[in-house]
Order: sequence, then C-alpha cells, then structure tokens
Amino acid sequence: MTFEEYVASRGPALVRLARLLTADHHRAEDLAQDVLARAYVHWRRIQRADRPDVYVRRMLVNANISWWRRTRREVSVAWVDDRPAVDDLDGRSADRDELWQLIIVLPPRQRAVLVLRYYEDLDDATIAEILDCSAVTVRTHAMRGLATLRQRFAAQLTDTRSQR
Amino acid sequence: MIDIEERLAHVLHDRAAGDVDAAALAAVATARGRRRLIRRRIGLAGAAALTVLAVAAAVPSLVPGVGQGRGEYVAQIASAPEAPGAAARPDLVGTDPNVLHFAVDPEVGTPVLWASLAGRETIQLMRDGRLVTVDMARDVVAFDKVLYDGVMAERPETWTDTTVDGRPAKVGTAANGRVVRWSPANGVWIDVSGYDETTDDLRAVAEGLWLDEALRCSVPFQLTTLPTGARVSGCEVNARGYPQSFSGSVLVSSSGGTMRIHAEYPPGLAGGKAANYQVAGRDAFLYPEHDELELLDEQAMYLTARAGDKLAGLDVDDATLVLAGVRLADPEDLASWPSPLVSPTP
Repeated sequence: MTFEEYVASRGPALVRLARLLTADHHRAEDLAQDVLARAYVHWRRIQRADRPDVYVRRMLVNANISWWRRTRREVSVAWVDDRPAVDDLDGRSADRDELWQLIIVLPPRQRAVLVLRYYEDLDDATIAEILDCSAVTVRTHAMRGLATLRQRFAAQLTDTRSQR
Repeated sequence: MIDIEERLAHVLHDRAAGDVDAAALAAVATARGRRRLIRRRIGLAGAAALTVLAVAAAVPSLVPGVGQGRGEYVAQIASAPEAPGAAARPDLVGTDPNVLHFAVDPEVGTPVLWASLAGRETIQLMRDGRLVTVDMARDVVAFDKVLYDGVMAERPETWTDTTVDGRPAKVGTAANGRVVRWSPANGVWIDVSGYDETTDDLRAVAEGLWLDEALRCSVPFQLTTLPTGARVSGCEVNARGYPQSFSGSVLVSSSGGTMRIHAEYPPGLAGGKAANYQVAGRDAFLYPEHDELELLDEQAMYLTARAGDKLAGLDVDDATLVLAGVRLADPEDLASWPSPLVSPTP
C-alpha cells in the first residue's frame, strides 16, 4: 500500500482519534499531519510491518504524550463545537458534556487506553502493543480511568440535577 | 441507568465525529514529509558531502548509494518511528539495548556512533569536523565511567550555571574537555560534551536534540542463540569510517561476565590466519589467550566473539554457541539489517 493510499483510507480515522487524544480540534489536525509526515519519511519500513495501523497509532499516541509533557498546559476546553444546537429536554446532552470534561482531564495514558478501547474498539493486547506496555498495565489504566469517571460523574450529576 | 462504559462510548463517538478532508490531509502530510527529507539531506551536506566526494574519487564505492551520505545511511538503519522518545517514556531510557530514546536534528550534527549499554544511551556527532558526544541516562552515576576513545573521561572540577531550552543546566570544565549537563524531563539526565567546543556550541547541540523520537541500534547481524541465563546488554554501531568501513557490536552478559560480538565491514582486516578451531563446521581462529574467537570463512564481514580476560565467566563453549547461531545480514543492503538484536525465534 502506498503512503497516499494509506492516508486516503486511514487518515480520517487517525484525525478522529487525535481529536479524542488531544481534546483540541485544531491541535488534532496538526498532530495527525505531523505524525503522517514522519510516517512518510519512514514509509518503506512502516509498510513492511505486520500492522502498519498499529505502528502509526503508536506514533500518534507517543507524539501526543510528548507534546503534553513538553507543554504541561491545562487541557483546553475551547472545543470548537460545530454541531447544531438541539433541545436537551432530558438532560442527556448536558450529561455528555460533563462526562467529556471529566475525560479530557484524565492522565494521557489513561485517556489513551479508554479511547482505544471504547472508541477504536481494540482489544487489550492490541492496545498494549500501541502503548508498548503489558496487557495488565492496559487493564490497570482502564480500571483507574473508569473508576475516576464513575466517581466524579456521579458526584457531578448529583450536584447538577439538584440545581435544576 | 446507563452504565458509565456505555456513556463513555457514546461521548467518544460523539466528540470524534466530523468531516475530515482526506485529500487535504494527504497533501499536507506529504509536503511536510518531503520537507523533512530535504532538511535531513541539507543538514548533512556540510558534514558529509565533502568527505564522501573526496573518498569516492580515490576508492571504489564499497556500499551502494555511497553518494547518499552518512545521514541517509543513519536514517535507513537507525530509524525507529514506532518507538517512544524520552519525552514520552523517560522510564525506558537505558533499559533496552535495541533502542535509543532520542535523536538529533541533522542540522546540528551527523551521528557517527550510537550505542545503548550500561544504562546509558550515546550518540556521537560529527559537527564541523569535530566530535561531540551526547549521553543520556536516568542517573548521572552512569556518566562517571564514560570512556572516550579509550580514555577515561575526567570529572569536571568546576561547574557553573547555564540554561538549555530555558531549563537550569550546568557547565563542567575538565582537563580533557567541557560538558553541559541538564535534566530535560523527570528522571532523565543528558551530558553533551566535547574537547574543543565552547559552551554555546554544546548548548546548541543540546537544544537540537529530539526527545520525541527514537533510534534503533541495528547491526548487520542477529543473534539466535544465547548461553543459558545470558541476555543482550548492549549495542553499538560505529559509522565513523563510513563509507569505507563501519562496524556493529552486541554485548552479551551473564552473571559471570560479558562477551562482545563484533562485525566489521569490509572483512579484509585480519587475513592470514590458519584455522585452529571449528564453529558449527566453519573454520575459525581461537586466539592464544582464549579471549577471542574469530570466524575465518565469512566473506562479507569480519566477525568475532570477544570477552574481557580469557572469556571470564563466559567460556569458549559460550562463544562457540553464540557465533554458531549468528544470522548475518547483507552489510551492503541496509534494509536487510534485522531487528531486534536477538531473534525471538530460532
């Protein structure tokens, strides 16, 4: 598969994954472009790998973590939401927004595990390969991330609904 | 009540949604990738091109594509885009002889030697005709026993303050050179040192390190057999003589000692020996001190197993076992250089 064919078929999925890892729409585009530019340089080696997709996803996850450590900035909540506004009579939209705010402040590797498992639908062995860790570590990250979300979301839900 | 995992899946799919212009993405990525390639080549021109041209006029090309320069040679055998750099995984620094968790901007210098051993990762650069050494480790103690060209580095006697990328750093001055030392990330230390470099020169190298990239320590052979209880503990690639020559070494360690498996190209460096030993049916030469075993009939490379004093802790049988299982790559086909250093399957 040529580099151009790979980007045509898998590029959009990479950008969507980057959106979830960075929680920043514009940063996601930049990150995906930068990772693909590096993949372009090394494409001969990457295309020979058993699973080039896993290879490139590992590059994306590592690049995001490196950037996060380098900048150590608070995760931006300036999420450009282009979706049309909908009535939110049952509060589900507000709930999803609150849950998203909790997801984006998880440590980057916990967030990466949850995104790869619940969005990309990958098994723990593949996630372990992407994150270069053991499957046990993957499960630990997932367990801790979910525990944090459950606890904080429940607390937030209680606060929010008591104010309605 | 909706389970948190179900909510999570809904939220993630919701937040990831949105159109992506694949054509534009490919165009931008390709353009950026091409600029990276050009940047690598231009950055190497000053250091490598003159050497390559001068050599090519006098010596027949030993390696295909000699005109490509040392930097592209490095890129072909040492690239490891899938591995994390020290910025992402500082805990991995010095733990894997297969990988160096940093790289160097080619505009800063050209790697001529790179190694991962004894908890320390090293890249030696050629910069304006002078050697600069970059060492990275998780403990500054790893820097205390550094050997430069066979000479023990002296500990700096005086240290003064400076900065690297805005972070506090120290400049140490010793009789045999100067070093800039700082910690770019938690638990990681870097020394940039040279004999004739000024502090600003060393700081320029320090600020040209890429901690979000990694290099592979890849040699033109792979081990398939190790003595019981032994492991690969180090790797070194020496491209100082490129393109006329280069070498790769792998260290094998056990509780008893360390053995160095060493391959050099071209092979014609130790001719004239008569076989006095056999390795898996192949002619070999066992040195009188019993501290080195050399394969004699290898046409493409010079290959030996060498260990400390009289193969202390690792005996001739261990060296025979390891050499018998060495799988050689074509030294002239850089894409054939295998990874990892030890085959996971026989």
